[in-house]
Parts: sequence; structure tokens; C-alpha cells
Amino acid sequence: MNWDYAYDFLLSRGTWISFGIFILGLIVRCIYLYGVSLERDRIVYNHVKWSWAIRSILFWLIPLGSRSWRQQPLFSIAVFVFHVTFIFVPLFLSAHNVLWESAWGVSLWSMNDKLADTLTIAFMVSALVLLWRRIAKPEVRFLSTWWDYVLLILCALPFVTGFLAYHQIGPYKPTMVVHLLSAEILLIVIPFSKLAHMVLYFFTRAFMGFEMGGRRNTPCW
Amino acid sequence: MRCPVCGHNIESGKSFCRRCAWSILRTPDEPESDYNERLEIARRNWENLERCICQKEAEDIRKEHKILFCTDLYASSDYAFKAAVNLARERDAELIIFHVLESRHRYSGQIITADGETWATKEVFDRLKKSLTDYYLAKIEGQPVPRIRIEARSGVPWIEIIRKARKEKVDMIVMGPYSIRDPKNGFDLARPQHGETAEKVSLRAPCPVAIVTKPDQKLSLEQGA
Amino acid sequence: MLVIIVPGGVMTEKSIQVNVEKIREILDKNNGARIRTWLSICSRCGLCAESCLFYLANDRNPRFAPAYKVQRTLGTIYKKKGKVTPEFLMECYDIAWGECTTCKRCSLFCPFGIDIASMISLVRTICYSQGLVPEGLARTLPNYEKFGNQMAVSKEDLIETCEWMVEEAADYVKGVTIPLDVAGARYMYTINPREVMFYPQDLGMAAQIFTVAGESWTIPTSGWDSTNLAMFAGANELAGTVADRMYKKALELGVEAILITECGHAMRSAGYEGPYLAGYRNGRPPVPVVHSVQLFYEYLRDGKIQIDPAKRIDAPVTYQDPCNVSRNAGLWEQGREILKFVCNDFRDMSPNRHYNHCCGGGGGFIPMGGPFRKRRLRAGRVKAEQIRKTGAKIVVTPCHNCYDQLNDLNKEYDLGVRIVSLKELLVETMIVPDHLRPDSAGDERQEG
Repeated sequence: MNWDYAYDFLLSRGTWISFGIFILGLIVRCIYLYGVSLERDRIVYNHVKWSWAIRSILFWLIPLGSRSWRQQPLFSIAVFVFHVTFIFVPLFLSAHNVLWESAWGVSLWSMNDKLADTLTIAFMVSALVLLWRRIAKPEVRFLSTWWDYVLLILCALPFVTGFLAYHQIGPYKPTMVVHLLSAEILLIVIPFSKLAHMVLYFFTRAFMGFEMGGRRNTPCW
Repeated sequence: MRCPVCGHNIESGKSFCRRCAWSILRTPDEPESDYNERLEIARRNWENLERCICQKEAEDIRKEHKILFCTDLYASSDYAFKAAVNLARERDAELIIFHVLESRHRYSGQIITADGETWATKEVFDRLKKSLTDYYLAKIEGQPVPRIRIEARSGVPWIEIIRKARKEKVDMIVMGPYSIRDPKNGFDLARPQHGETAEKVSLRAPCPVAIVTKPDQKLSLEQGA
Repeated sequence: MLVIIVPGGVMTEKSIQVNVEKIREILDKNNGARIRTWLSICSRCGLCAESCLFYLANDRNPRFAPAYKVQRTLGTIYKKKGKVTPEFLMECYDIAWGECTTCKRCSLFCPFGIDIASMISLVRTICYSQGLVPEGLARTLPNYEKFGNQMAVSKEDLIETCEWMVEEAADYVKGVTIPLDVAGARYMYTINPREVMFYPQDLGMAAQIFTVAGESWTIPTSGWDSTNLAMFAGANELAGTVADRMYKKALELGVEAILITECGHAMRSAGYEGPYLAGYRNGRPPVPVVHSVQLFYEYLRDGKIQIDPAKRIDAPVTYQDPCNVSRNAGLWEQGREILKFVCNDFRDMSPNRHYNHCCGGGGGFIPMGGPFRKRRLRAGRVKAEQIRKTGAKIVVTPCHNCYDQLNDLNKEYDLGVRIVSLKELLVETMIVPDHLRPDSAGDERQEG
């Protein structure tokens, strides 16, 4: 196996393919769901009240923002850290920005590597908390399927490998290939799995806002 | 001659009508107009009076007496049954033997029977009516009772009893004291206690309620009630 | 072997014929964006478990986690595209009716706001299409069709009971009436047939309150049953008819609003699910729907009814929020405001308001009767503990269903409380104005 070839392929075409599938997949899924909803889910459009929807979304985004979160504070904070770092680190990592720059000539603000390191560690810790919770809590363990574990590991893999590669621990090139591969598989998987909640979350929460708040005057957080 | 008020035939030699007590003689110094006025009032009064009497008579004829005997299926109401039978015989009244299967959950159609909780189906009622018939017909001693009807319903006993009494316009409700809480322990007739059903029925019934606790208690209905 | 008793006999797994076509049709009809999204994005985080009273009452057995219940039933049916075995259907039956009261509490505790109650309702519809319905619910369905109410109360019985209650209520309030079928009244008062059958005093008390408040109201002689057990049985079409009957009557009488008696699921049916079941595209009832807890609160707030200060209650009182009134209709403050007028020592349960736990008798549980009794009382353990913790002696609840369940819990868990409806509370404590006092001293009569 030629690591260089694999690395190049994943970096050039792999990125295109995976991002393409990721973005298109999400768009298609949303459009499809919208189309289906027009006839079968009148209830979504009948009770629209945006103030409730926005609160319904926001209170669940804030750690300890909802009663449910407050009942399990550790989980709430872990989930918050997990999600924030999951989005923040890949977008603003300087190494990634260099790649954006060289490919398209545009780049985002990039953070310094020390911060990135800290956030990555925070991410890994939070992922470990989630994993631990999934195993340790009987009701969550009972609900979990193998796919839940796979997805959690798949989410963590790019971070772990990226962290290892940056610190030059272990063989660099294979680690980088795994880094790229796992990240791209993750992107491809997102639209077709429960990870689609990165977009659908806003819709389901908005609906709950309409349903409980707009219709029944009951806060749902 | 005919009485100007009620039309009854006044025997000759009498100065007043025997039916409506109208005096046919005019007071000496009474003017014609006063007499006519008096006559008019008497006529009107008589009309009203007659209507009352007729209605009452008609009602008396039409209305058969009805006695509602409510049983709890235990020996505690046997004395009440005896009294009810005697009364029905005496007054030539219809005797309605009535039992309510109690619903435990006021929301569901389930009722409590001897076999435990079950749904109030037609079979349950048929079985119940049959056992009521067997039990009570055998209990009637001596002369037969003119008319007997056996009915059963499900629900809250006191509500159904009053509903029945109102619907049938019964003359009297006869029942035992109903105080069995634990049927297995039997019923201590020596110390009868007022049960919830008897209490509620006697408070809210539209007619007199007789609660019979001893074997020799006799009931009667007022004549023409 | 599981055995289920349905009307018409005993059903075993052998006698169930699974009609896959029919299941598919239902699945397809309901396979909208919501259910697709919900089933696919559930992350199995287990947050819903803590919210479910069945989970809490059954010693935190993970089998009772709402997410599991839904994935096990509807999730599997969708995965198998309707091709399920009779054994599996019986399990669905067991979960949909025996382990969920569709109280919607889990929706408030799910990060994605997945509406598990709706999905369980869909499972009920699927079971219903295969002839699997708890007997207690199934028995009410022909009554709805034939008599227009769940307990086969005839029109004559209704009228007779109203007359009877007027006579009784006249001992307390002069000139009390129960107007029947009055066009143009302000409120069309729709009731639970159980008031006619088992608690006629409830009608009498309503009449007293409305008379004292000078309300313009009427009870219709058809479409008066606001309950909707067909909704809980999964018989959606019939449920729609039942709700529509009431709307049509209200439109015919030209009333301002439909007033719902102290019944929880009646509010849910009339105000929220009914319009959809009956096919109103905008999802709103054609006539506004008001729950009596709201109206009673307005009476007290506006001084139409005044509470006798001497009769205010000193014993500790707590308030049971019925799911379908508090959480699902947003009316939790009204009940508490009423209690502020009436009692001196109010103690809230915890959790309360829209977070309140179901009493364990909702979702059709009480009419399902004996076969489900044991589970119902077990599920009520959470509520019993809540009540015991408050130390209250009186529990007030504006829901017939809670009323029955709490009475059962009271006996089962030896709580030593008295369960009271709002009407009872108001009638016992309100001031009857002088011009409405009965002339004779008939008011010495005591309640039994």
C-alpha cells in the first residue's frame, strides 16, 4: 500500500466526493422530507409560532438550559463540549485553513495550535464521557445498538488521529490516511444516519416549539 | 229541576243541590245582578273542582301501585322482601325486584359479580335475572303476588335505584339495611347498620323508603296515595 | 402464550391473522416527515427514560424507556415494512396500551423533541386495524356509533337525569335549571357520560355554579359526550366522527364556545386531536373550546363567584395536574389560582405543572378495566409517592380520569387523602347570593 498515493487521493478527490455527498445528501434529504411533509404533516404548518420555535431550539442548545439537561448535568456539559468542539476545531484549525487557502484561496479565521490542542483534548474527554455513559447507564446501554457505538467512534477517530499526527506520535502517514479516511467516511455517513440531526435537529425542535408552545402554550424545555 | 251550577238533579222539596251544595233559593233582598255574579263564581269554582276530582279519580284508576324492592343478593334483604311481598299483596301492587351490579371503576363498564370483576354483558344479566327469579319466587309463601317484574342494571347502586324509582314512579322503595362490607363474615342481623346505599337512597329518593330490618315489620301504603 | 381477550372471544397468537396490506396502508399514510425524522435521528441517549412514569414505577427497568418502546414497536414495524408476526403484534399491543399513557411527558425531555406519544398512538391504530384492542375500550366503540356516547346513555336518560339533578340542586340554589338544547347560549357544556351514569351530582353541581355565576349555558341532547375513547383505541375514523358530532352540534346551536367538563382527554380530543381526526385541514376546532378549569378561574377572578371566607379550607391541599389539561392544554396556573381563592394551605407536588407525572390512569388505562388494573396501580406508584410527600389531605383534580385513578391509589397505597373535583370544591365553599337562597330551610340537608 502506497501511503502517499492514498493520502493524495483522499485529499484531492476524496474530499470532493465526501463533501459533495455530505452537502448534497443533506440538501436532498431536507427537500425530500419537506415534500413529504406538505401533505402528510399539515400539523407542522398549522401552528407556526416562531418565538416558541426559537426558544425551543435555544434552550436545548445551552448547557443546562432545559429541565432534562439539568437532571443530568454531566451529560449536558459533555454533550455541549462535544458538539461545540466537533464543529469549531475542524473549521478553525490552522492546518485545515492552510488547505482551504491552497485549494480555493480563501480561509477562515484560524486559532493557534495550543487552543486547538486543548479543545481537541476537551473533545476527546467529552467523547469518552459519552461512551462511558452509554456503557455504564443501564437504560442507555440497553437502548444502544452496535451502530451507536460505531458512530461515536467514527466521530472521535478524526480527532484522535489528527491529535496523534500533530504530535508525531506513531507512524505519521498511516495516521494521516486514517485521519482523512475516517473524516470522509463520517461526512458521507452524516446525511444517511442519525447524525443528520446536525440539520434536522433544528426542524424537530422547531416543530416541538410549534406543537407544544404554539398550539398548547406549554414550554418544551 | 237541574242545579244551575253542576247540573245535578235536585230532588223536589230540597232547597239546595246535594252534589255541589248550591242553595237554589235567592236571599230576599238580593238583587238580580248579585245573584248572577254569585252563580257565575260558583259555576267556575265547580268546574275547577270537578276537574280535580275527575283527574284524581282517573289517576287512581290508571295508576297501579308499584313497589320497588331492592336486593343486595344477601340474606340481609330477606325480611325486606317479605314485607314488600305482603304489601304488594295487600295493595294489589306490582312488585319490582331490582338489583344493581356495582361498577367498581366509574369509568369502565366492568362490574363486580360473585365470580369477580367482569363486563356487564347480556349473559351476566340473564344469569342474574334467572338466579333472582329462582331465589325470590321460591321465597314467596302463601298467596301469589299479582304482578312481579325482575330487573337488573349495572352502575352505582343508589343512583340506579333512584333512577329506577323516578322512571317507574314507584310508590315505595323497600330495601334491607345494606351494610355488608365483607360478605364472607355473614351478616349480623342482630345489629343492623345503615349502609351507604340505604343512606343515600333514603336521602334522595322521590318516594317513601322503607328499610326493613326485622322479620315482623309490616308496611302499608296510604289509601289512594 | 399470550392471551388477549377482545370482544367476540379470546385471541391467541394463533387466531390473529396479520393483514400486512392493511398495516402497510396505515404505515404509508403516516410515513410523513415527522415520523421519518423521529425514527431515524433518535440517538438513544436515554434521557426520556427518566421522564417516564412506567420506567420510574418499575424500578428503572430499561424496557420501559420510551425510546425503547417506540423503537421496539413502530421502529420495527417500519423496518419490516409491515410484515410482522402475530406474536410481535401482541407485544405491540402490550406496549402500546399497557406501558404508555400517551401523556407526552417524554417529549419535553427529549433533546430532539421526538413526539413518542404520537408514535405510540400510531401503533395503537395499527393494532386496532388487526382487531387487537383492549376489551374495555372496544366495548365503548359500538356505543359511540349507536348512542353517540361511550356508555350507551339514551337521550331520555340524559334528560331524566338532568331533571332529577335540577330538583336536587334546587335545595341549594333557587331557580336552578339545566337548559337543554338552547340555541345561542354562550357555552355548550359537554360532559362525560360517566357524570350521567355514576356521578349525577356532578351535573347538579355544575348547574349550581353556572346559576350562581349567571352564566348562559346549555347541555345539548346530542353530541354532548366530549370524551373520545375511540382516540385512545386507535379507531381514528370513529374518533373523528365523535369529535365532529360535537363541533356540528355547537355550530348548529350557534354557541360561542364548547365548554368541556372537568375531563382531561376530552380537552385533548376536542381542542387538539379532534380537528385532525375529523379532517379539519387547519387543525383548529371550528368552535373555540374552553375547559371548565379556565372558566371557573375566570368566575373567581371576575368575582362572579365569591368564596365564603369562613368556608376556606384549612387542611393541606395539593393539586394534581392532569396531563391533558396542564401539559397538553397549557392550563396549569388556572387550577392553582382557584386554589388560592379556596384554601389556606396549598402544597405543590414535585414535579408539577407541565412537568407533572401522569397519574397512571390516562391514555384509556381506566376504561381498560380489570385486566390492566394491576399495572395501572403499579404505574401510579410515582403519583402516590408524590402525593404522600406533600402531606396533603385533599387532592384537587379537574379530571375524571385522575379522580378515579387517585381514588384507587388512595386505597392501594393507603394515602388517607380525599379526592375532590373543582366543582365539589366550589359548591362547598362558594357564597350563594341572597336572592338565590332557597326559601325553605331545605339547605339543612347534608351530603351523605
